[in-house]
Amino acid sequence: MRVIKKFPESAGFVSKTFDDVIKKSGVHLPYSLIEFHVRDRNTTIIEDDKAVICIDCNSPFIPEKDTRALSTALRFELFRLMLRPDMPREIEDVIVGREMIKQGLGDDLFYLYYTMLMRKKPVSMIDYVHASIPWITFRGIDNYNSSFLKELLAKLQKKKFPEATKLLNCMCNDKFDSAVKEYNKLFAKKT
Amino acid sequence: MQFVKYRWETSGLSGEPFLSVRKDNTVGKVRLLDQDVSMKIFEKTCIGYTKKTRHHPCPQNRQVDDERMCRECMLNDDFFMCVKCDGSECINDPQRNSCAKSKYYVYLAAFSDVLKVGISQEHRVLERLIEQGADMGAKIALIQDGKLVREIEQKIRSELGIKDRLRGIEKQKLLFGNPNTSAINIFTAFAKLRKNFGEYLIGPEIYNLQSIYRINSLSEHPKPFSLDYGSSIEGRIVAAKGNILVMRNSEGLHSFDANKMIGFRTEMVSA
Repeated sequence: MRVIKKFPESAGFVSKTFDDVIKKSGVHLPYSLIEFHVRDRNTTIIEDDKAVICIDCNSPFIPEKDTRALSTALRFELFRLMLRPDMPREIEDVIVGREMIKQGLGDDLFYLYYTMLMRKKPVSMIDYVHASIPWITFRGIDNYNSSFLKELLAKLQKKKFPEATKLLNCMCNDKFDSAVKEYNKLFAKKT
Repeated sequence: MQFVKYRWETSGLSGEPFLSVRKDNTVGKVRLLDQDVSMKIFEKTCIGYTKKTRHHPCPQNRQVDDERMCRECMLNDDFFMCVKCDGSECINDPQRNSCAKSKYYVYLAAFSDVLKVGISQEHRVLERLIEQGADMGAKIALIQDGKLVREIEQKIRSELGIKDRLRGIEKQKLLFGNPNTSAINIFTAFAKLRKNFGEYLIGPEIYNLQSIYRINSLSEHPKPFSLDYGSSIEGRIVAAKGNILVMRNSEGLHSFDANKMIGFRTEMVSA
């Protein structure tokens, strides 16, 4: 497997963290090529046996040099490459996160989610779904952390989005195919 | 008995650190400097939360790992939602009003050759510099509104390429700070800030804080050690630089981070 890194010189910290994570990941990655970019958003693209991981250069973890949060975010993307769920990103996040917790990485994932939630209030429905992923991911595996993350969200977000309830319920109950249908109903671009 | 707080009591450019310990429902203060201490460290439990200026013990008395508070107490605490504030967005609505009315100093703190920027409530800026163990500190701006001051702090950090946090282990390495380097770094940084932050800056007030800590009386660099469940501490506290305590015993000089003691239960504190 070849690894190509494309990033500005200023992102040296990210590059070093990526090297550390990929060396110690222990994740099976059946790819001939993985490209790693620092760009303007978080994305992961998989095409056959090639993959591209993009990390958002505006992520607060970078200027703060928060190694734990960044390592976990990168490890998360490697798990995504390993599992290849091929679903909308938010639903994939639950599948990937649950696998990380089962592999003993729950503390790091909790730290990442806690740090992300404490940054800003959700405004739109998609923000609300994003912000619900942490407690849904931990639900049923680690209910103590799940209820904390859920209550934290309730403190941040007074407004509810009842339209999203079905989607959240499907994810809570591991009904991911139904979750995809609900997701598409809510967020698919209307042509 | 549980360690619940470590703080310096200061008066101008002098001060002394104390540990607060809770036994049953009463909190007492333990003097440290020039005292012989002997204590064994047990499990760490939640220190409770603050609501409407009153401190409440943890209702569940939960054991915690790295944190000081359990999840339930975090959610009950009035200021928990402020801990990650960088000024970009307020997520703690109930505190926003008083935060917007309060005044804060932006300061530069020098730890030998390492410079950091920070903020402090107006009335306790010197205490803040001392409790962190800065060799030198300078008040550089006075700003109303906690959200704005955090935003300025982050911009200064980015402009100067410096830190806004320094870990205990880094401070232990920098115990013997060079005051000349510290002073030069503060002057250089302040001059650099004039261009983009001129509207916020005040004539800087610079303080040399080294004499407070008694570090100059030490004959050698203390060996750092970390506190954990089962550790024992025995010796005489001979110096304190911010949160770093220096203890002398039959094996020599040792330093440890007093902030790490918070939450631990202990068997005995003797003086």
